[in-house]
Amino acid sequence: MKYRISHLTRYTYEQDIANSYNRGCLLPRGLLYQKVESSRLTVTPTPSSLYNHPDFFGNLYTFFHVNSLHKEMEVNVTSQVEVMPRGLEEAPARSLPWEEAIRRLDVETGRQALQARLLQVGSRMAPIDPLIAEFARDIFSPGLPLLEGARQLTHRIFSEFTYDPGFTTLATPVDDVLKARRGVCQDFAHLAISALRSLGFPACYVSGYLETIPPPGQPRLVGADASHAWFSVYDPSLGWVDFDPTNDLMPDERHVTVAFGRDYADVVPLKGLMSGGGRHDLTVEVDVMPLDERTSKSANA
Amino acid sequence: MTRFDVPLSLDALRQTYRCPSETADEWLPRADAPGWNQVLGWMMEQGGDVLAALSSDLQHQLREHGATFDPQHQQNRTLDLIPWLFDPAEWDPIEAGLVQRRQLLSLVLRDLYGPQTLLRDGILPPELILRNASFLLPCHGLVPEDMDWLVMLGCDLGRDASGRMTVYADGSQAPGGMGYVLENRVAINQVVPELAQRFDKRHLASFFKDLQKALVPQIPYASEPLIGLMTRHYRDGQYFEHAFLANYLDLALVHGADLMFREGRIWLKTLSGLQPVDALMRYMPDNLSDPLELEGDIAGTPGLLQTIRQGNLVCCNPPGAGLIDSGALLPFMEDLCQHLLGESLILPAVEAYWCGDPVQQQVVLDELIDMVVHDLEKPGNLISYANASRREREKLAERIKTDPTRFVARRILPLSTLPVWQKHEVQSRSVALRAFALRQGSDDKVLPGGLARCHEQPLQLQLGLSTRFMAKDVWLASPDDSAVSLLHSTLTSVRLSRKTGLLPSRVADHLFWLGRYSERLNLACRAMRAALPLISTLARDEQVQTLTPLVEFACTINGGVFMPTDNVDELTHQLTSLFLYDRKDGLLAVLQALIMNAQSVREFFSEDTWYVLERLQNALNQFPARGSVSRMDRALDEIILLQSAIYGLNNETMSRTQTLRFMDIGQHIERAQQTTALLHKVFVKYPQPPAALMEAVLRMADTLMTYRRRYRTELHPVAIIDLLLLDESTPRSVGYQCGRLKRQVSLLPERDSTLTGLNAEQRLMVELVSVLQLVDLEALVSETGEPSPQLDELLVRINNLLSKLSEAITLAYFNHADIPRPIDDV
Repeated sequence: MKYRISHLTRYTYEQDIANSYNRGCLLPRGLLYQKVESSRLTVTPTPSSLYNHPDFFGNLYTFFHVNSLHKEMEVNVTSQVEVMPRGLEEAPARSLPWEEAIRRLDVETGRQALQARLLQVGSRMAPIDPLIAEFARDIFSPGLPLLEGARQLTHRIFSEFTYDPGFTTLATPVDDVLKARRGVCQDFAHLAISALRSLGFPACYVSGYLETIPPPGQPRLVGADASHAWFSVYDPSLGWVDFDPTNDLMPDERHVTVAFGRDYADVVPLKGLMSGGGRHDLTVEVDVMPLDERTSKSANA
Repeated sequence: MTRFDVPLSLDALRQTYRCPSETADEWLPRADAPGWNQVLGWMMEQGGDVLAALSSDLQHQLREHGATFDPQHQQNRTLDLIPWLFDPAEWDPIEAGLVQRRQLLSLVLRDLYGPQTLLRDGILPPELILRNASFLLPCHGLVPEDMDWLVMLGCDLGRDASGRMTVYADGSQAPGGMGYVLENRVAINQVVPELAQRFDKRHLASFFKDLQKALVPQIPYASEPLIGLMTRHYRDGQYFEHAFLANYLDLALVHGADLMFREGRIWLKTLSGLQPVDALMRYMPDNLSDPLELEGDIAGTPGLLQTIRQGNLVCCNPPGAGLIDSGALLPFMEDLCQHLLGESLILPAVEAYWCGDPVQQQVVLDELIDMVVHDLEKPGNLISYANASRREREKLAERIKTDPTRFVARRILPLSTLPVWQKHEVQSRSVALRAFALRQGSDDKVLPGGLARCHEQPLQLQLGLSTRFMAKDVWLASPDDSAVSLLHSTLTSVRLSRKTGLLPSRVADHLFWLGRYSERLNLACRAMRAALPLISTLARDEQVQTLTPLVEFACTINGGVFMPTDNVDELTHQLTSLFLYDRKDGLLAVLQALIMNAQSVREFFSEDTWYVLERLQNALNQFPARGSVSRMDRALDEIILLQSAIYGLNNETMSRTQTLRFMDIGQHIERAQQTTALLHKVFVKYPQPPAALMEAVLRMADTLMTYRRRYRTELHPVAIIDLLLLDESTPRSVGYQCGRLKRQVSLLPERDSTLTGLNAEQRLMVELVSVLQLVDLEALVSETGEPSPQLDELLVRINNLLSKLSEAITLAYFNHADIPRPIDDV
């Protein structure tokens, strides 16, 4: 599948801003199953400095500084991306028994395995927590293939939790999400990662987009899409395999990946510091436009 | 123990000196060496009383330099008279070992923040690094190939059980102590020059010269390089050490907010505009250094990492280097050295263990009582249960067993002892050495000496720099007589020319408000002191009319509200309640603002000023707001007197530069504006003031005597307005303030050399002065004492002009002192 993605972020300030420093993680990364044909980030007003650099995980970061007086700043990213089928439908059945996966991880020293071990450790937004471990422990019966466990965890979150954009904020801790049984895609991803790590498995956060399909008979609304997030779990024999607990599925051609991280904090799409300005308003418009025709069922982001 | 009541011989000292183990003492086994004979022999000649006096002079000298000041006024460090002596045979291997260790750790950092071959090849276990809170992912690939990951390394050394000097800790983020080393040498040279001259020792200055060179980028710049010493906060315990070092090395002492990123570089925001910074000595925790890329608060500078990444800033040391401070590498130093350098460690490393390895974990658990434990997830958290109960140790053992990979433990060293002069006698103390290694160009340098720290308990010296300790100067015998030099003779050659106009905008901003707040506090107290006696001396029917303008003035001086009332008790209550703790518009709030501004620039004030400020704080906190009028009166006298002392001290001790100018301007603007407000209340808002009020106003401004001398008449509004508004020779008049302001404003740093004519603040000054000069005094008050509309207009206009002046100065000089704050993440 080919997509053209546009991601617009607009800040409007009450008073003039003299200096604004920003770090974006908005440019989709290339992957075995994802070809980035073009990707461009533009800022208005024109920044006095803008640099891209890769991070530890191979994501592309953009640093920019706007230092002309402004009351409005727009960050616009346009990317053209081709997502190939991953062929991982059978992965859960083929994956290693979870006990074996943990054993192998301890002795492997390849680059991927080392990175995986970093993602076995708790992080601020997806911590290791015995209570969260309990939420998933009974899934992992002896000998269960690791990825089958991840699939069941995905299903459990999907069926036991309510998608509720009004309940959580970016600061809601994952144990509150567990208690309230509601949240959005970030919360569900963090919950799954936290549960997997608490049981000793490496898991990471994936930021990206999901093509949303309008209800039958209604036109596609430009800008109505949103950023999406899901999680990935590491199987030493198959590598990283993604799961989307918000939609109870394994991401494939309709999921466009931007970046991987320990949790949301590593891959914040846009983070900034500014001087002046008073209060501000923020608008985000995301549009994931398929470049070839096809149909699919609708999904939540 | 030796009592020095009479001069003693060296032999007698040797007989009576007591230490836990003679072989583990630095002096006894070397007592015949000429160096120790020279030093201790000289001391024996002096006798106890002289030594006691010299020792006390030394402590005074340290206080003078201010490096021991902390907010609690506690001295955390004393300096001993007796130095620690090393001969070349002992020092050379230490020096070679430090050079090797810095090289090694620099390579380790480059690998771990790059290809991570050390993890792939199994030299280091991945969990040790990957779950270490000091390993900062955003620093991956940060330092360009041609720059060093570790410009400066601080190492803590002490003797192990076999007497070998052993490294037990490494410091990169803020290798504290270098300022102390310098200070100690200066103090010793000043207080005991005879002793200092007796011993031929290597001098320190060349190392600091090398440090300056190391920080200057390799590319020859057309202009002088600008190097900053980045410090965190005035509350930082080491702040004064930083100030001392910055001053000695001619570095700009900067906070994160003094710096800004622009076009790939870091700039210092000064009164003369932005100046590019070439290098930073960074005395700030890694994770606070760049609020955009690293977690942490606004102490740092956004864009710092990006600048290093682009190769445009030499950083000593780059953020991320703190990984070596965590202690994680201690158990692996020998392996790392073999693997990366193909040789053995020259300086032995302390025995250390990583609990993630079951065998090593067992050693730690078995011998926990002999260990200092590092928690890798909480940087700086050193745990020692040497003196703890068995139960506490068991709890720690349990934590280690539950989550072993996050703990590293090192064995506590026995350390050696040294003679110290303490409480009128020679005693022995455990001693440790903090030493420094530096990369300068393609050379490696080691500070010839270091900071010796002494303590009664060896363990205390192995738990970080924060504990109180007794310092010693460290002397390396110099085989080459020509290298002998007093620090002072070389000090001048080290200095680069002092840059002018490099006062950071933030500093000027604090000084300006310091001036304003201290004047505000002073005027409120003066108004109160003038008002209180009126309550008891006036007839009831006069009290309200007389008191109201003064009470209103005091209540509204810091933006508070005044409630008009006919009840004298209520009036008095409004006045005295200005001293209540929870009043945001009260005098304690003014004091708090004053102290906050002073502390933010505390290196500008002398120790005496701090002492008086503390007394002022006590006086205000203990104000007898519910006491009798005479008690309150006495308290106010003291407050006003203390404030005068502070003014006087500042004028005596602060250099006549832009520094003092901004404080002066703040003070003059505040005094002029408040005096205008007072005149407006007394003569316009409540016209026809009673004589007692006019007398109080004159007394408040210390001008009653002047008035009597000059007018020898009844009190008349026109004469008072003349004296307090227009007269340029009365130090409390508006006219006098404007004269001073005009001069100070004309001397402010030039901001834009292309501007011809006057800038905004100069134009405002011309207008203010001429408004005052053109006043027709007779037209302001009618013959019957009624205020004319012109008086109202005039006072309002002066007040507006002063407000505009304050704004113009803020805009011109302080505006870019703003600290960027976070925008919500999206």
